Amino acid sequence: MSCFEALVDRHKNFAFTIADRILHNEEDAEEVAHDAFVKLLTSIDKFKGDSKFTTWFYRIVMNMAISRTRKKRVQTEDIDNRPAGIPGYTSFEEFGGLNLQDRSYYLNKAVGQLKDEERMLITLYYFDELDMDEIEDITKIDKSNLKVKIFRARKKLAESLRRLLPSELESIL
Amino acid sequence: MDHKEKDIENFDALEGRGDLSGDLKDIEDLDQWMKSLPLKEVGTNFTSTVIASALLAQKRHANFKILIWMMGIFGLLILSSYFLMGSGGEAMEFTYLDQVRIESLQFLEMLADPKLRQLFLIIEGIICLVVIEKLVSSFRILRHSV
Repeated sequence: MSCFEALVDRHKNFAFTIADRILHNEEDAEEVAHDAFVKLLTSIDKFKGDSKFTTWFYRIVMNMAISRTRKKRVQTEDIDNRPAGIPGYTSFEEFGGLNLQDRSYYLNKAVGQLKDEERMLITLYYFDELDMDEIEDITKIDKSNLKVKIFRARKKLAESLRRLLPSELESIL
Repeated sequence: MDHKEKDIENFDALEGRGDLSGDLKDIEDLDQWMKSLPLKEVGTNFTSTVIASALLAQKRHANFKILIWMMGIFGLLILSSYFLMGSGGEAMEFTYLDQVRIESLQFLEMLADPKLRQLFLIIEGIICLVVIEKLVSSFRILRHSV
């Protein structure tokens, strides 16, 4: 059991982050990560070693998060509705100048505006741990389709961030 | 060139396997910002909660396996008793249990003495009670989880 404990400690934040980016709700994401680890222990005999352990495990997390989104629709928030203390921006250059915490706020909100599949692909793509072959293995989408879908999701994400600009200008005017 | 091919070309360009046009600059910036996003951290008691739940789930999983095996063995025993009776047509008669008793006594006498047979029946009774208990608890767990 100490091995399992070490495994949980090593992967818990990755599992939680994947679930959180897909679900956009910390409480549900923690529950999904928790259930994924429990499932991992009871079905470890199904792991054949054909793929990397992380690929297999992240697929469990992702499938559980997706099935949770189907049960409970993800609530998307209005991107302009930012809490006090978070500065706005009027251009991409200005956005790049924001500190990491403020930038994370906007990026997470923008990811939340995407559709379920786009959010899932974006989450997996920006995970340093995974390469394209592993993403292909997790999502079961062939590589050329995967490239198209990921590129379009990134484009949409950039547009989501840019959508904030006119409303900022309007608020100044 | 259709949209799909164009998107694949843009994807490869951003991966550093092609020329990067001005239109893709925003996405390149976005990539850098997204990759710099920190990992979210779970609550403090996460690991211990997971371990406790996992142990419980593992126990339930093992119990369920035992239950399935037990039911399989019982099924085989029932089937073998049925076929030992011949065609099975006698099973519909009231004398069936008597016949089973007589047949099984003859069969068991070949295997062991009466004392061992009693012991066998006691063990079988205990296993039957365990199976009933497992069935009831599995049903309760299932009802609770739904």
